[in-house]
Amino acid sequence: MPEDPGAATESLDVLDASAILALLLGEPGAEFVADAIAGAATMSTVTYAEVATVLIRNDLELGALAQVGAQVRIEPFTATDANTAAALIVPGELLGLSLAGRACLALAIRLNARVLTADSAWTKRDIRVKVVLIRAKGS
Amino acid sequence: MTVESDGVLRVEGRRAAAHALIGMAGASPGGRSAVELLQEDRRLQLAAEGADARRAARRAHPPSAPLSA
Repeated sequence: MPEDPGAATESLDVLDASAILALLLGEPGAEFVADAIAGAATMSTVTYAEVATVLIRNDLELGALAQVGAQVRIEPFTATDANTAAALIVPGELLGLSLAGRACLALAIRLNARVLTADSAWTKRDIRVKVVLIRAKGS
Repeated sequence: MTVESDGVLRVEGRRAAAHALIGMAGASPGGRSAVELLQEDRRLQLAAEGADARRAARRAHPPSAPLSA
């Protein structure tokens, strides 16, 4: 159930890896993510690991992620999340979701939060949580 | 300074700190987008998992030794 960005973020937002990378690379939608962080945002430890891997692999500034971590709540990947992520394998496979992607969705389900993403593929199926694209499609 | 104005200052400080994160990691190599970088990472991860699975399969079912004359 995708939503359009623009509305003020009063509720808790879960950041997926693409949203955090879009922020750190200064892509379109970065300001939307920054506003969410200034409000109330969180990420899974699994998402943190995924973003760190991409930064290291591409010789980007890893310290930038630590700065994000100082401003958002970092949630552990719990046994509950693990069970939920496993249960998402069928819709996850249809979406092409990695384990890290399913961990992000599992956290959003546990916290009854919405997910912020830069990946429009996440909005194409009903995956039990509200998904917000951080930028208009095509930008 | 009132409690209300202090609160406003605190909110503005959080917003400024969050916006300071924009672009902090540097420039993406080759101008690739966040989504493209993640897709590449997941391809590499899948390849690594495939190689790991093949190694495990070889350990579980080693090729039979050639018969010696």
